[in-house]
Amino acid sequence: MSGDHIPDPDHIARYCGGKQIDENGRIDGAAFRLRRRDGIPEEYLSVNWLEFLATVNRPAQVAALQAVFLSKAFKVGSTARFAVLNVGDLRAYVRDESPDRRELSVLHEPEQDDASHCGLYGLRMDDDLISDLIAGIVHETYSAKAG
Amino acid sequence: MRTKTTTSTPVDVEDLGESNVSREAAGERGIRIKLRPAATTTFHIGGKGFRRYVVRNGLLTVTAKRVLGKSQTKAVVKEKEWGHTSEVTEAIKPFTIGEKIPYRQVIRARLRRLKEHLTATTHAPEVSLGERVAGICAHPGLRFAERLGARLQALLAISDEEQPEQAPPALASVKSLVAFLAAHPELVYPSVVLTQEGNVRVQWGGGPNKHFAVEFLGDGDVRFVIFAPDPRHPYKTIRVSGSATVDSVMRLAEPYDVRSWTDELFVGADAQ
Repeated sequence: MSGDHIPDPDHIARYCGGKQIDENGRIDGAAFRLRRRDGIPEEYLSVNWLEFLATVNRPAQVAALQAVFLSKAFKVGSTARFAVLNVGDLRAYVRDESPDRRELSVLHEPEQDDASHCGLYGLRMDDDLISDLIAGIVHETYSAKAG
Repeated sequence: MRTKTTTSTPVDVEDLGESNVSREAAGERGIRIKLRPAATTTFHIGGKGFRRYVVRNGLLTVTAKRVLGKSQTKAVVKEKEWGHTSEVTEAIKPFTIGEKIPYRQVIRARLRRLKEHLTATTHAPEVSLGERVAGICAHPGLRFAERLGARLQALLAISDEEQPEQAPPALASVKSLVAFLAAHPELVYPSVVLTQEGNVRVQWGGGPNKHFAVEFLGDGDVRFVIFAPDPRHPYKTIRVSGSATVDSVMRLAEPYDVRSWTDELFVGADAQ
């Protein structure tokens, strides 16, 4: 349901364009920044709730997510990756390590063509330090392009 | 007879007082002049003896060790900027050991020339991003020119392929990065990415407490993030972020000991 908190044991995936992935395959913090759309700052960082898609295993969840992106009018880059994060680990790490003890939350924000869509709340524009903190705890990435 | 001088802590030329400064004093103290925009330029004053001035990131520093010969009346000034070399021969008053040397006049003449050159560079017809990136591969002032050029070309290709709503790479940001790296040849090769706004962002380290990232905004400013061990409590991590100018960010970062993982001297030539 829209606005529900995603449980801490669950996982989210962030689509990261190839431009924000370095030569060693590490996701840069630039992939976790809010953007301005038509001059208006985003309210949250778009992510997807993996357990909502499938509960079997990670490959099944990633395959389902690839299918979601394929069905949307979204150009998936050949070098783009999904960065997977555990919700509880993410929130605890940012809370413990950020200078302002930042409290993040992940809320379900389903869209018509993307029921697993969620928002990562608590970020601000030009929040480079928090974005780099988040990038630092990404240990799992998968190709965003199917096949 | 030659006098050997050593370069120590540089001082601003304005601090040197009157225009005539003794050769020994200037040699011992060195001379540093603030100059914008950022550039890497080497001046050679040719002849029997020589002096060498290096402009790095807006600072002009005397690094020479020898004085000019007694009969020296001309100075050849070579200026290098963006691979372009210009050579100017200029009359310089001959002097002997112990004589006062018009450092300020000499340097002012060099500065005027450099400023004219930089202005001319600024007003030159703009090249495309692709041309600029291709040119980086052969940039004489960059230690990792080929690797950096290849990486930027790869990022350009990714940018072309990915979402059209995202900004293309910013030429000004690329130029700013190149000027920065040319001014800091001591840095090891960083990881290079593009932000969603199209700015170049480089990063050294990658560990949870050794992280130094710099985003080049293209207007001479940068945004940076530093994660570093607390020097007094190494098990704790200091985290700072902020904005700075391209020519000041390294000095701002130095208290956090980022050099220990960004400098070739500490990291080793083959690292990263």
